[in-house]
Amino acid sequence: MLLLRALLFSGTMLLFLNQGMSQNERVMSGFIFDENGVSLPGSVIHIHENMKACYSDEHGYFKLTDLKPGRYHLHITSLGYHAKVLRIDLVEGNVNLKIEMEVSTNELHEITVEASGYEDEKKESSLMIERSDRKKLMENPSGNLMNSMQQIAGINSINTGVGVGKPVIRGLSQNRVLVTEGGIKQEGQQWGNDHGLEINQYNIEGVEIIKGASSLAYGSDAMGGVINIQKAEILPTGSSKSFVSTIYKSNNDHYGLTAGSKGTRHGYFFGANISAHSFGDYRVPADEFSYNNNLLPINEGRLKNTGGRELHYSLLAGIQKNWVLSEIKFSGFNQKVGVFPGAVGIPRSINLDHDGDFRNIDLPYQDISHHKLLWNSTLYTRRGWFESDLAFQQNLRYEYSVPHAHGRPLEFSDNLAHLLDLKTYSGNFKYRWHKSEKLDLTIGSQSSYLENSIGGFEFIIPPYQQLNTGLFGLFKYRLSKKSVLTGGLRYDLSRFRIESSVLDFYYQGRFIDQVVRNPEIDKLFGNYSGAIGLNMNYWKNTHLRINFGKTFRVPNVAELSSNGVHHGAFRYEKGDENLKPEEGYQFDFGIDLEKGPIYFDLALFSNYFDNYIYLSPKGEFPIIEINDTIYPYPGPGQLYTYRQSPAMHLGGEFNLVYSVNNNLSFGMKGEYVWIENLKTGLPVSFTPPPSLKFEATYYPKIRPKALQKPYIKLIYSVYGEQNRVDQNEKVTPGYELLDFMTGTYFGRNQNFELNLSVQNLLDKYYLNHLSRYRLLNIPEPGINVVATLTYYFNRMEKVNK
Amino acid sequence: MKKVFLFALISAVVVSCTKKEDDDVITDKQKPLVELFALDTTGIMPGGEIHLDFKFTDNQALNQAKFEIHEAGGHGHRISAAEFEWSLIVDLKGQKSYTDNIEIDVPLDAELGEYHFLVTVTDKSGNESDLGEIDLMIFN
Repeated sequence: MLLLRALLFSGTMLLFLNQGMSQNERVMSGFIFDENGVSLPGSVIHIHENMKACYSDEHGYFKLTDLKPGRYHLHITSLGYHAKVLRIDLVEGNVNLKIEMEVSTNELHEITVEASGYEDEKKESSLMIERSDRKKLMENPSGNLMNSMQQIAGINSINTGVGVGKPVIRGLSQNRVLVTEGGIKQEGQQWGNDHGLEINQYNIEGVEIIKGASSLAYGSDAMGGVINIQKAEILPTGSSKSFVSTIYKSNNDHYGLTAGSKGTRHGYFFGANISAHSFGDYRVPADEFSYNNNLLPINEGRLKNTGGRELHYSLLAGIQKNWVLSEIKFSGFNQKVGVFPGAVGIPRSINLDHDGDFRNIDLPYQDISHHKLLWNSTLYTRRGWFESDLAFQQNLRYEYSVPHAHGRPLEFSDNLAHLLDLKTYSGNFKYRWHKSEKLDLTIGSQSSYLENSIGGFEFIIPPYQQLNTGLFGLFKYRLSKKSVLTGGLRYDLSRFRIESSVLDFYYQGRFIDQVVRNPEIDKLFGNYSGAIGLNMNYWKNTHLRINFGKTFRVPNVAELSSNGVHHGAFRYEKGDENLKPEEGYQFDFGIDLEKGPIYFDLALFSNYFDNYIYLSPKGEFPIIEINDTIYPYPGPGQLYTYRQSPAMHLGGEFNLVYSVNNNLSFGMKGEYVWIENLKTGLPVSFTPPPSLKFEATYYPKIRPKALQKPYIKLIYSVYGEQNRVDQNEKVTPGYELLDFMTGTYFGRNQNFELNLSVQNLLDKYYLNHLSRYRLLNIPEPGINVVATLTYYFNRMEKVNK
Repeated sequence: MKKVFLFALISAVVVSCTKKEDDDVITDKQKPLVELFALDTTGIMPGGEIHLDFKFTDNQALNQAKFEIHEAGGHGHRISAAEFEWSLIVDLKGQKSYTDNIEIDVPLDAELGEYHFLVTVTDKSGNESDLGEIDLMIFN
């Protein structure tokens, strides 16, 4: 808390310091036109540093006034053209630009990125960065954000039912990938496979994914990559945008409503979003499933108790001046979602009988809320930009179940198995220095303080406090017009104070004694990370990326000190306080090229882990020893302990798009991941299967412009068998899926947007290797018709002069 | 350009070759087999006895067996005070095959009804057998 106060204070001081600096202002203006010299009205021009934006007028003209002298990054986007990023020098005087845009047949190029530690330019990044925006997400929304993003090669989701999805990048998940919003890492008990990502997919504007080693810019946990939830774009002053959107999904009778509004006026901006959802038990193409030689019922093909309710909201306000950009955002994610009763314990038909209601949420269930207060500021200084990100977030996780299997007596009526309350205070400071045309430098620090408390009759992780600090320096050096060298170094310290936990132990309904479940641990971990990368652009529209990164990860609290039945896996897991930080050495190679109608990208990675932490079956059953008496721990299977050993992680993904003409395009994507524990020679559990996806998109030309941007899309996906499995993990057979999507804008002023998708069009029975319910041989959801209808109050933007 | 490729190639080779000396180790993934023979599953009375013969086999070395009896009520069912619950862990001493029998006394006050007799076996490398299961009926 003290730390946070100090950070806040220093942030405020800087604000005052800067206010005094009023200087002569600069103007940036220019014309935007295409290759034939035809002006492009309605292009969006925005300055990366202070997010000032405007539209080009009917002559393609734009003007941004009131700018401080300095170096800026200008992003220009125009529908149907390659996004452009220009470095503009306003040190000496005003600038008037002539900007020629290049036609793009591929919408992948209509974007710019901000997530990499070096900011802004995909074409200068040495790692693959992908982006998905709201429109893309709404074309084919699944039950959760991660599931909806699986169309991106290399991205997967570990699912518990349909509402809970956990990010996987190139086969790495849990604490090996990192999710950030406004530069702040989201903290929400990432160690659990049944702990989904607490980000609502319906009220975000966009998501960026960095694939590959990113520890340098993000610290511990960014080994596999980073998912960056993008901030809402700030509209040009005087404009506002609002929408109301409804969604229906046939498979689980999901009804949802989302509304959002934002605007900018006289240097102040605001935004608000709300999203509410209710869904019932989902349907699978089966009436029964087989577990342990027993056939068990799935009543009316609906998986019992898998419904849920969600309520999400956010509010933001900020100021935008030529010397400062500051935004405060409050957001809340609330989800109550049932867990299939067969997944907690041995499934028995007595638990699986229909309870008469397909929409209720009965035991067991999760009740999760995540609230976040974010304050992002960017301040102008003469030589560069100072950024600060301050945040407080609270992740509250309640898991309810019947205490029967835990040896408790009848009188014990509380159903709260786990309460995990994690509070995180974060502060990041960064100074970006555009030293010259060739060199950008960034120095910064990232700090966080985590405080976890627990409750409930079960035990999995103890209460703890963790203090993390990292210092880093990054550079970006433009060797020539064609190649950019990036790199940097970082050092992190992490201190854990884990409290000892003492719990009552019950055996066969009797209270036995109190038991110490984990010892007190006080540990300091230190580690360095670094990276060096090169981006080359020797041929037109071809980029080569090479990156070598040293990553690290501090063991998480579960790995250090868990000692109990983890319901997410339904097994007894035990931590080891002597684990060392995981370290990785990752080499990434990427190429992307565009030649005429063809776009192609390929990324390959090889990653060597020292001390890869994994759960290993011990071959022994968990016991509790009290006064020399040994009590078998009631419940499931054998004991799993955390161990570490070297591991190898290899793979790649590719993306090919062929645009036949403006109306028709074909795409193909593929991914493969191979992970092996070099000590045991075994693959790692939950490795995504190899897959290939084929896409055909047709954009019909409707003569009278009644419909705008209509599309029809068919996706055929082939998933290979996953036979590279860990001990006691099941081989999952391959499968093929067909998805159909269509959508358009329509109505007067094209104010309506309709998207219709049919997932699993053939109602195919298949098992998903990354599903928590795969263990039980429960198939994935059957056919699902998803319809979203959105009304935009002012879609046609005002074109300002 | 060439230098860069060379660097890339060397890094890739270095990364993939260093410290990979013991990649020939392939851990045993074959799970132990459980065979159960109960003499009587329906004629058990409170105060009586449950008799179970069993045979466990593994391709390498058996490690432990866990025996459990509980009421078939399952997770949604609450335990009553007199419910009969019992469990035992047995060391299988690294043998490839283990045959034995076990006799369990049913308490006089055991609640009548259906019970599950569950057996799980592990081997030394941590492979876990499928759950061995026998339904029992305790009645008067």
